[in-house]
Amino acid sequence: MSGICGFAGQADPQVVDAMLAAIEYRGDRHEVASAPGVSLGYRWWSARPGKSPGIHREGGDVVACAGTFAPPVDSPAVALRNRLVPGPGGLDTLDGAFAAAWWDGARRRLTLIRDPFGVRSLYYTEHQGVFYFASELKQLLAVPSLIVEADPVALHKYLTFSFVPGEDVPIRGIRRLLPGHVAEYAAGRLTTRPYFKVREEIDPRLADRTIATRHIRARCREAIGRRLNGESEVAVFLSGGIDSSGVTLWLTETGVKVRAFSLDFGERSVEKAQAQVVADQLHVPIQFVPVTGGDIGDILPDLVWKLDLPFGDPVTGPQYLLARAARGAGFSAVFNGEGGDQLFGGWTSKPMVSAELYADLYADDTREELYLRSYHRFYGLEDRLYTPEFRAQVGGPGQRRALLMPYLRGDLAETFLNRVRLADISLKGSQNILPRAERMAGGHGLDLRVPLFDRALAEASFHLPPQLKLHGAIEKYILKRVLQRHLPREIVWRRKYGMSVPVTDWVLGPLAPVMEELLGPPSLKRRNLFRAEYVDRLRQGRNDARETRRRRIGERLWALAMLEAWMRVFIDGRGRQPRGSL
Amino acid sequence: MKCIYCGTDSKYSERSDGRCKCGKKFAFEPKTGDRFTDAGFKSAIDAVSAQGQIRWGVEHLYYELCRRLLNRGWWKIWSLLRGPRPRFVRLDQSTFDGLWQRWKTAHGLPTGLIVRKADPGVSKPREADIGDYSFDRAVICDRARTVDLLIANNFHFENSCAVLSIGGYPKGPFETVRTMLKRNPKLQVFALHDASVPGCTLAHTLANDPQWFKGQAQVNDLGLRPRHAGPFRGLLLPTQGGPSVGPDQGISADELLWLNAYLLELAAIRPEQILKRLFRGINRQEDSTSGSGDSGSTGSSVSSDGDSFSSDASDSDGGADSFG
Repeated sequence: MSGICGFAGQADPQVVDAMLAAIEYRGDRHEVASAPGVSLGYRWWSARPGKSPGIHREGGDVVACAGTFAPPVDSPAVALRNRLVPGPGGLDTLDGAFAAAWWDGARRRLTLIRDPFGVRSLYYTEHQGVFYFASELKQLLAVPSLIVEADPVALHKYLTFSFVPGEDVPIRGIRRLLPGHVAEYAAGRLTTRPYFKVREEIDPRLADRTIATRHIRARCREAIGRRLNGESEVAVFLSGGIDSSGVTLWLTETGVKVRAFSLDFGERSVEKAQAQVVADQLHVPIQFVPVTGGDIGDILPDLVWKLDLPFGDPVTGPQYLLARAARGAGFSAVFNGEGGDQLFGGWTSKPMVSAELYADLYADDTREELYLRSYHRFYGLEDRLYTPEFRAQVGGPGQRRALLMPYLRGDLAETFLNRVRLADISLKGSQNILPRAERMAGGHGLDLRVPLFDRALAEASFHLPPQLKLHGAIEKYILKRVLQRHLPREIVWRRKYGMSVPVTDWVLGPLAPVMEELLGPPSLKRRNLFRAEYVDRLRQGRNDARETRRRRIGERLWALAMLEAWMRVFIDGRGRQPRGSL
Repeated sequence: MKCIYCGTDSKYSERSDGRCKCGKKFAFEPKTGDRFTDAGFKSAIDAVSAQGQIRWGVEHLYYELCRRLLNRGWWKIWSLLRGPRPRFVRLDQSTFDGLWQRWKTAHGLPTGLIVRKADPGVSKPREADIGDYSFDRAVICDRARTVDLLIANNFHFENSCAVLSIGGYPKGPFETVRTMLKRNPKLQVFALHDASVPGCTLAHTLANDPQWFKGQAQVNDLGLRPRHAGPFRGLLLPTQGGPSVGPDQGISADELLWLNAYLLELAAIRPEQILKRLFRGINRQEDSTSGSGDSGSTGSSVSSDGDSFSSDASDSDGGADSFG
């Protein structure tokens, strides 16, 4: 919800109007402010609390801020300028979900900033001597003369992660500001620096489980409270897992009215019964949103367009339908439980511990390579998937591993578990889970609140001994202790299933014609990225020999289909809204 | 005979120096009595490695070649006439060793072959906190080579799984891992083994040895037993004479009778199928026992998954009649 854009340099101010028009779903009002050599645009929903009421002007300064702070302030744009003016220290406790631009008229300097964990996005490019920036990629593609070409190096990374990590954007010449970073553009030069990094600082007092439980419970409740903004009723996406169940619990404790929205995959539902149990226990009304493969086919063009970047996880379609249902029910703010795995030790913890113990037996995969395999896309399968022509353009070795080195081997953490946590937060959390969830919510006029990705809570999680995250073989142990007295035992302590989207059934069943259109021989030949024999095997439902799980067929096929769909909308169509089919 | 490099089909007179026209050396020469061509040997390597997608051991190649010999000419007819009685392999180990040596000399080590690094001995984990955690499940094998197969194919990584041999392999992390297993009171243990006397007592040993899981965990037997041998006619080895076994060590009198005559190694199954069977066996077991609560089950017992390798073994597990 809400978005910004603008430029520094000598350009036609009307380009900002075009950039704002590209994101009409992010607000019913917009405003442009121009000064010599700069123009800023802002689009927002009127009558929503916690939004900047317009572009803030003060002397020669101009500030546009999309999103909200945690805790909320009357005008994020004013508050942001007040924090930026004194220097770096002003950002020490800054939290929320925002992306902002500040033009310092006296210094003729443009400052860009993103929230600590990257809920909100910010892209930029330099074109014909002008520096452009925007909340969404499609806004930059509205710059009339910008050349739009796919970047094979970024596509290569997408095919490993199922999202594009780091500063890369899969269009040549466009970059992304990293989460928790500030960029300054002045006199034709751009510099960026982090203002926030999570760092392990274990507090020995938290080795006492009772103290630690109390400490984390308090931080969780504060994180929820910081994200309420005067609404009388909010929506929550409730999966039935402990993270979203915890968020629902803490929301009800604040006294705000809550309505839950949950997915219904019919007979393939994994956690539907658990979501109902939690809703019943907390006396929260719950609406199940049916999702079928046919539904996903219907929304696909709009899904791809609103995602803005290629995201290859099949959860995005169901998230789109959840957001549409919540907006349709009249909500403007929605909470989710994302972040529990990243902060408290789910997902990659146990596989990586296992891998570390057996490392070096056969002179094979490094720690980084195994982590890359944990994404289960095409790492190690490049020779079978890529055409020789594509392979020749993806750049030298080590680029993907280099993204992980600062976390898996750097000095931000000394314990193994927390090194893996840092990698999970910085990659999967900040560059995949958060931006895609925000796009799905924002694409439907909803303001997304992600309380577990809270700055103080994240820092508190890195004060914990890691054994309170992975306790024996129990993941997210401290979170379970926090919740065990308040939620049913079978919810808190049961084995984790995770979001289980029946994507293989879909792509081999009702979505097979869509797969044929996107990944059939004519399409593959035209794009010349992938070998037809490998993709055909997947479309026939044939797994790789080494794979034991059927769901990998659907996950891989979906990731390829989403990339082709994204290229049709954003490369061939320059990011314009697709009409009809892809 | 076809060259595996350039595909040229040469006559015997054209390769008198043991080389193809392209200059590459042949490892075998059927005209002088070899039972395999280079192309046939390579085809067997492709089969055990699933066209290069699976890591494998030389023992798997041995059984792949045994399977191919069984499907040849009069042997196939004879085996059909003889019916479903157990039969021993037709390729002795020393002959295979000779073939393997000649292959390596001519063509080098095939890709995907599992090669251990020099044994580093007992070692502490590189990261201090690693030993503080645990696993959801453990697969304990009777052979170190089975551990190699699982680890090299990242089974441990994909399934949050400890993999050890009962004999102490891999030596480096062995005691660290075994101590970690004690930290999970809900640990699921799976025994994976040959149909042999030591193999068939493995689950019983694990469930009753205080150094392993006595009083801690249920042990599920996913290994081979005599009742699984049907599809593996012609892939059996004669028993060398093993340790005696008491009546309460998990082997029935009928099984003992069979085990005193035959040995069926797990390696007789293609690696891809071993991995998939193990995965399915683990999931079937865990789905049937999944419950809630963090209080661990206590006590130890053995359960046997009778369907793990038997029900469709002839279709996909490398039964002699399935692969040619």
